[in-house]
Amino acid sequence: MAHELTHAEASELLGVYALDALDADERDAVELHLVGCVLCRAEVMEHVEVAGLLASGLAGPPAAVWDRIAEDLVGTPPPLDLAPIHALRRAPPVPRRVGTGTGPVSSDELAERRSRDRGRGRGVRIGALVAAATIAASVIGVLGVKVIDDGRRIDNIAAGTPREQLDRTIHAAMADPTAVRVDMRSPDGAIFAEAWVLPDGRGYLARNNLPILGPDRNYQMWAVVGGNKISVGVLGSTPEAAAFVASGPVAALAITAETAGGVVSTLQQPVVVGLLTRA
Amino acid sequence: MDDLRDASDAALVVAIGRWREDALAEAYRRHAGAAFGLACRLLNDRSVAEEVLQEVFLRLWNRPERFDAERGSLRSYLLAQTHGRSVDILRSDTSRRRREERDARESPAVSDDIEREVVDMTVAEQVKGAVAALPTDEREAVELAYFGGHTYRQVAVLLGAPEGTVKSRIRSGLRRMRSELVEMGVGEPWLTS
Repeated sequence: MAHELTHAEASELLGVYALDALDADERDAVELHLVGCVLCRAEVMEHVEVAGLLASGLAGPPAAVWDRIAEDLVGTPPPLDLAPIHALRRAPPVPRRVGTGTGPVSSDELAERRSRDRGRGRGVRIGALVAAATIAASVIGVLGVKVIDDGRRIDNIAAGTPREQLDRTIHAAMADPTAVRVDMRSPDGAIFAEAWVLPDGRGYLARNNLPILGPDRNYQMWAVVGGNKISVGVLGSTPEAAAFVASGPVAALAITAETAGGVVSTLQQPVVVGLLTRA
Repeated sequence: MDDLRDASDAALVVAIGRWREDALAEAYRRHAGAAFGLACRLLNDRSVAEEVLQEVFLRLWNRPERFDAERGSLRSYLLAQTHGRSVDILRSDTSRRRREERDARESPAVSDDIEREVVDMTVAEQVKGAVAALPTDEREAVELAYFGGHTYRQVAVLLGAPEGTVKSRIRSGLRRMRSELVEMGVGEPWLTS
């Protein structure tokens, strides 16, 4: 496990971190520091940009490489209304994130990512990992926290908080070892939404690739508690990040596409759904 | 289909997230040359560099959400991915043995390599100027780490300098280059913002 660096220690390593010139243990320690340090993240970004400019003017790639890439591109956007929820509930959990995305990746991580990557649009992920659902099901409901059971939260949770402030909060949640990552996926795995839930019920929608909805429709997030879908709020038509509360013995989070303004109960099948599992 | 030639990086990646192959092709058109050149420079093996390039762009296709426009340009993201993957390969056992043999035959003093590599583009010329303005010890350290794929500890051994000194040289070298490039008016918005 990476040890914690002081700000001064981490700062000294930012240049070599940006050039991938650290050993793995130091790299992990820097990345741990970066999660909570805006200043260091900004400096790394600057170094990475400068380093990238060093590659200016180098040789161009052979055309054959693009041909090989194009051959490997598969997948078309799936329709919004997907398979029934019982199929979604068999979707496997995705492993807890392993890295910040801002730095180098290990070979193992890369191999794991590539393995998942190849599933996009091919529908292989669910078939290959259905067995994992049993494990996921065993941990449903272990978060014994208080339920908000009004079921009527149709306020827009994607609005109100400045994005920068929200990003900081989300990064802090991601770094919290008690936080649970919820990977919501469509049945074919092509659409995803990542959320983080803390033990006190605070949750955050982070990255997602939810398709943009028309002006008369909004996404709405639901907590699945005891087989019931309890609204935790409306996300808007182009959700990026949001804070919400999803307390109670929450088994899963789901997002549906609803009419603008949201609904107090839904008849829609979820676009994405993910089980609450512990890593 | 709208023209993507003028699209921002962020717009390109959003389009890639919508499975638009032409958006990936545009990203490839813009950035694959530098990425491939970097991989070639690091790996000294065109076929492996091609595999890295293919991997990097397929990863962008499969995981476009990993690019965060607020954290920098698409170009720097792709180059960082390329560099990281190339270094992973370089540091694998087989490659390490091969490189150790190569290093045993070659002098570590390669201070002019950056200038030789960075050619034929306006930005490249400006970068060349910024590199030339670096003190020799900083330039060597940056070059060995970035184009050589060495860790800073290895760079310290190669240069016969303390590790802490190498860390400082690399950091100050990158800062100095940035200042030079901004002063030269390099138009990259991420440098001047």
